[in-house]
Amino acid sequence: MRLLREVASEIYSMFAGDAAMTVMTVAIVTVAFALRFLTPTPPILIGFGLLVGCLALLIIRVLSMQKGMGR
Amino acid sequence: MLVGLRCAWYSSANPSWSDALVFTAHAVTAISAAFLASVVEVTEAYTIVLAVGLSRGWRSASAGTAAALAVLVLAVLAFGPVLSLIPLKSLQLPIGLLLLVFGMGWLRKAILRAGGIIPLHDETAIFAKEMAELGYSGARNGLDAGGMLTAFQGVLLEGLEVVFIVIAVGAGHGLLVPASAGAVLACLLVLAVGTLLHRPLSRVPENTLKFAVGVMLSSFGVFWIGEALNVPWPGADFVLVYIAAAFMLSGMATAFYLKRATA
Repeated sequence: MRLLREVASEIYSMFAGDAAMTVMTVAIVTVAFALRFLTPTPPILIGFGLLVGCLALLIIRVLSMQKGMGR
Repeated sequence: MLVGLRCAWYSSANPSWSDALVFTAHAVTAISAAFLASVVEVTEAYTIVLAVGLSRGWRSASAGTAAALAVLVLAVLAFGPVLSLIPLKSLQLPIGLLLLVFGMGWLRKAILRAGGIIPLHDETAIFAKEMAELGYSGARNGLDAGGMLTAFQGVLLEGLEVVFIVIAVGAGHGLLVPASAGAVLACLLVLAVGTLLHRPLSRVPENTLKFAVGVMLSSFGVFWIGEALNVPWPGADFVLVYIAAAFMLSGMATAFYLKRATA
């Protein structure tokens, strides 16, 4: 039972170790999806926006963690 | 960049060459990601197995390791072929999202470690801690249940991430076998070096490897999500190189900034 709990916790931490980053990544992908299928935005711009959004999110999460550690 | 553009131009002019090149590029990326991720995870698992072997006997360590490896292989054999049956188009979004979330998680941690915000993974310290926790039971020739379970748990938990990577980068493109081969190769390499040295592999550049795997998986994730959204990537599959370069440069720049800020 303890082993199963450990496995479940490992799988959770694989994808939601930083829950805020996971939620925001899903949000970025959802926005990209909505823009693609609900608006006439050029797909190439959506692809570019997806990449830039993910890079920005990564940098913001790293810097916010640095600030959190500094407190 | 020029090489990528030339490849993209040449592949559009020669469709059969293009297919082979795209498959090779995907296979190389899948094998590299599985191999590098496995080196990181197997090194961590080896530390635990070594501690069990030295404190509770090698029979217990080997039995626990073999049982965990069997479970991991079964997981790949169970999930991999099932995913291969699902059309690639319907897999691109969920697997792309999982790869992106997982890859950015590894990348975030690697940047924080490279920037000195969180400590680097120290195999020697982990080995000492494991040895202290395990103690010496005296059951060096027989099977020790506690030691066996510790080795089983260590290998299973470290191997879960490898299984995910092998299935995620391998399924859909028919690359399950090459990705698995990359993981097995890493296991054999770490095992060979470990057998020779007989001590924790603290000199493996785990953070650099984690950074590289994070870049690869995040790039794969963005690319696959884009494919699911029918994004006409410039240079088709070769855009992966540019996406990876963007993740790598952003990660390196952020780590450099953190290092200077904390100095």
